[in-house]
Amino acid sequence: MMETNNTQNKVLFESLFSEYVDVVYRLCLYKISDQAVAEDLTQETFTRLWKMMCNGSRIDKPKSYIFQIARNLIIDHYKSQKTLSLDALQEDGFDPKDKSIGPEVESDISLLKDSIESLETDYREAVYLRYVEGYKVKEIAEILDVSENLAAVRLNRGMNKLREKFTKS
Amino acid sequence: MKTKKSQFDKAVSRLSSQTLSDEVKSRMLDTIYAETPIATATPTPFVYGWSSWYRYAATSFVVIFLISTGTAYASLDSLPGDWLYGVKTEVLEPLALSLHFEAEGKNRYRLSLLQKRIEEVEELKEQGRATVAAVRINFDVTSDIVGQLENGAIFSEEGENEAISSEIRSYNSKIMDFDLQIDTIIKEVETVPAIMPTTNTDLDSVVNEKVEEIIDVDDVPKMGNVAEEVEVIKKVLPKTPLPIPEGSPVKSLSDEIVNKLDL
Repeated sequence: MMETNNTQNKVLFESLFSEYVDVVYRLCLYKISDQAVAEDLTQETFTRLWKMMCNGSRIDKPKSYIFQIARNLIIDHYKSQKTLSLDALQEDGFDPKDKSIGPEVESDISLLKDSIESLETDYREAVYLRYVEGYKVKEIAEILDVSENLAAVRLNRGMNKLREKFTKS
Repeated sequence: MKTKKSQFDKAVSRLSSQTLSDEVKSRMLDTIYAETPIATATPTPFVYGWSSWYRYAATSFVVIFLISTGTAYASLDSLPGDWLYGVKTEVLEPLALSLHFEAEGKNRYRLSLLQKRIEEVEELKEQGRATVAAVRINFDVTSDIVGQLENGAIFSEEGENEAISSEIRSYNSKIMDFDLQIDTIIKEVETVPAIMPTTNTDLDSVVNEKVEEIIDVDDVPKMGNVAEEVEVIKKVLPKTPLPIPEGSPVKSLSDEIVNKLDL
């Protein structure tokens, strides 16, 4: 019985990992703009998920839970970075260029942030999930753990606001 | 600073294409299992969604029980204040709502529930049972439906349904205006005594009739209680006749009553 349950958990975990590992990685990359840190945070996200599953905790909404873990880890990372100065890091031989992503991707992320992060808080995640991940309203609602209608409200209003920021090319 | 849409789309496309290699993913899994080996896992299986199954099962059991005992059918005609009213509004109606799978169907059903709430208040009035408690129960349930409709104004991914949103806003503003009107009249009556005697035995019915004219159930649900408002007015009935300010709604109220009493 124990082996069967563990096997079920492993199958389910690997299914979630397979489906969301790149999604979480891109979210971390978008927020942090550092490839190595994005990989670390992605791994930590799924480590925590696996530990929760192994502890027998019931997780009713795994998609929402995965994103919540990732968001919390990103926030924790920002907080920890505030306590370190760049000068102190460079004294230890740290060169920020070593761990940064390529200049093209960095430029892309910067451009996206200028647009999306200037929206109201409620709209940002919905717009990000639609544009970058291509999710529909139902999936966005599951991830954000809100009703489909509320997700649609946020998405539509966010997209309308975003369009106002575009110049005519 | 404005951005070109084409630049934005290109940036989105490049970010969307960022993925981890299979080698990195495999290494991640190995590390995860190394930190929490499967052998140490507890026997409780990970199953998500069971809580919702339990909810559906529990609700189904309650509904079957209610139907089999005739309670459900009896609750359909219940009014605010009846002990079965909660069965109708908290069990049967949410169950019926859940049977509408599309947002449009759910919102149409909610609008029909709003109409039902209006009819209930009208029925309360006809039966002389429009107490404060009953009308407040009705108002709480109605507000909840309006709140759901406000959140459910979007029918599809294409955009907001402006017609429904506009209807909801109009309904809400009517309620607020009406509530303000009643509140103003009550406050005026409390502060300015009306020119009316207290001894006339027909006064109760006259005042009652006048207050009922103010609360027109055909427009919006009742916000207050007719009987309570009558009591408020009666409290400030004449001790000493004082002039009522021009333009005060109380003045017109008392003039009509005075006329009816042939004073």
